[in-house]
Amino acid sequence: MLLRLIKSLVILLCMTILYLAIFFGLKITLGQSDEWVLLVLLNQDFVTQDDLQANLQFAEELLGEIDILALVLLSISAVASFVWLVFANLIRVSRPGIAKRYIWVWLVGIGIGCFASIFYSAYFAFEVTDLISTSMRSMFPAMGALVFIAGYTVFGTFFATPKLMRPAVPIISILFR
Amino acid sequence: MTESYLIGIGGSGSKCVESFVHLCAAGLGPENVSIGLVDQDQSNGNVAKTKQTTTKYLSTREKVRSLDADTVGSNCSYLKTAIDFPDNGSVWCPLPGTAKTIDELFGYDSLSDELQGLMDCLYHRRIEQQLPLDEGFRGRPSLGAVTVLSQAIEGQTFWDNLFSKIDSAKSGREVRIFLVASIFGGTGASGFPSIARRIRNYLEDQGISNVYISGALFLPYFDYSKPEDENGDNETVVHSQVFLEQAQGALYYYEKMFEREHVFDNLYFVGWDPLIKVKNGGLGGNQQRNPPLLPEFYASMAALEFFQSPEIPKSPVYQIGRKSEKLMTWEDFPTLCGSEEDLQNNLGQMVRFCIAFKYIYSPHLKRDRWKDISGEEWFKKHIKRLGVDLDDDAPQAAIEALEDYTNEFLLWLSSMIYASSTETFLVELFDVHHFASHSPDHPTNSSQLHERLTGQQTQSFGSLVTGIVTPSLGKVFEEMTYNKRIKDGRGLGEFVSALYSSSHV
Repeated sequence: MLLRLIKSLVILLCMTILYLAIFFGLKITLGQSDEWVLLVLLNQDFVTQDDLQANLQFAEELLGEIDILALVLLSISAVASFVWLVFANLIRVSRPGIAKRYIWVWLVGIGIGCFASIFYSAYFAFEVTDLISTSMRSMFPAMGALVFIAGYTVFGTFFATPKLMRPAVPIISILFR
Repeated sequence: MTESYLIGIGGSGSKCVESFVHLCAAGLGPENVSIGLVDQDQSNGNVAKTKQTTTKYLSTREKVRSLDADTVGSNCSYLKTAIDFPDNGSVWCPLPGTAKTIDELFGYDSLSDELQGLMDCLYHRRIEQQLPLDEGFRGRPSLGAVTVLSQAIEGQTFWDNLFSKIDSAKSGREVRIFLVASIFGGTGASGFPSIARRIRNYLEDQGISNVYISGALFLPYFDYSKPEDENGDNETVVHSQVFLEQAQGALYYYEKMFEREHVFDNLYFVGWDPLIKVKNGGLGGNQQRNPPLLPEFYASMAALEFFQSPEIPKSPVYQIGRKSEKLMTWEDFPTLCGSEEDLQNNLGQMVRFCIAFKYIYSPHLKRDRWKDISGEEWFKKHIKRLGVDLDDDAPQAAIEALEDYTNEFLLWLSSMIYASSTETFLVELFDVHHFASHSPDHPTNSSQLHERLTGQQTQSFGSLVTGIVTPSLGKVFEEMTYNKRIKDGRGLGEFVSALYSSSHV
């Protein structure tokens, strides 16, 4: 049991690193596209026609703040995944048909995580920073939820949930036929 | 390869055969064995029960060990023994057909006065000469002996089967024949030496040397109150009070037999003191269905020892005893072919498998339920990916057969333990109350299996085998989920093999 828990947590750690790598890879790719950041993401109130250097500075500042948001969202995913994996590894499943009964725990995990991610993303977009463009601001809660769901499901639980408890994770049995 | 032949004679003999079949199911038997039953009482409940058990064994074995579709694989010991028990000729009734009497058998009315007088001296005119023999010999070996010896055996399928096995010794193959019967009572006591002698005579006539004959004889081991027949008459019923006297006379007879002639290569004697109280022995017919008892289990172990020991045990007479008067534990069993733990391990594994299958896994394999658990790893690994479709008739028939035999085995085990225990004598082999209950009012002392297990009973799975702590149901489930597939298992047989292997002690 303990060995399986350790294995799950190692998988979670690896997935978190992969998640970070993907995120920062994506950020570097998009960040290099100054045009996209300046024209789409940055609040146009901070964009001036004559001072490109100042514009880039605002863009840098915004990307730095988004890093923090990403880390917070990743932390929420990691914590939710960790709690699920500890539960999934320590709960006694001694016979067929039992694991499915715990589907509600996984759903509670994704529910709380989604709520926290949406809440923090909205707080971030509307309260923490004013560098985000008005049109993009309203998309942040949804993006936060998506980032969390991707982290919790694909990176956190799909691969790390012990085989005994896979029936408690929706869709997983289709993936691991 | 050695040919093994087990012959159960009479009610006790057939009950011993039933124990033997269950031990074979637990992987303790030889690779193959032929089984024959002898009883004058064709409708005897004990014989019928043994036939039923053996048939269920064969039916289940056919479904999980067939070579084409489903097989448990070569390393699985579940139902390992190939039992030869043909529909035709596996049971020999010395006097088949309508209810004959000794009178009719010898044509008493047409005999001369001198012979009639001799008959009257040997057999009581009213009670014995006119006793219908279709329900056995009612504890009268003298009737049995004259009946068995008076019958021609040529052309009878039972004997043809036996002699064809014996004939294989001509090609250098070793043949071991084991007879089992009670020394008291009617059919067993008379048939045991008579049949052995017939076999020995055949061997001498054919000049065959590498055939060994052994047997187990039951000394009195049970006792019951006198039942009355339909007319309120119980004169013809076997009275257990006379068992001891009969046994004493018979032991004297066997002592002389060993001195004077070579019939048996060795013999095992099994007794029980004090006698086990059995509720109703019955007059005969299907009423005579006694619960399985521990001495029969001992005798079946003697057969296993005889069949599987590398060399024929040389001591002519074997005795088995237990350590305590009040308690029976695993330590009281003899070692089987040198391995002390085989019996406890194999039987323990068998019981754990049966309970896991009956109560935990089989309910989920029904047509209307399997889809609920089809996403579970153990199901995918051991059933789905092997191409088994539980909507098909064949796997459902196999599951039904497995359930049938599982019930048979658990009932046998629990009934044996309940019926052999008393207030002052405890049988501590398995905690059978976890899966069975016993009502003192039950007419045949048989136990009843629980419909389902409570949470506490499920948790007690690890302590079913008395004296050792075994892995829990959770551990079995883990092994089913994580262990590799059985290499050469196929179809539903692979699942059976995996569950059997995961149920280890």
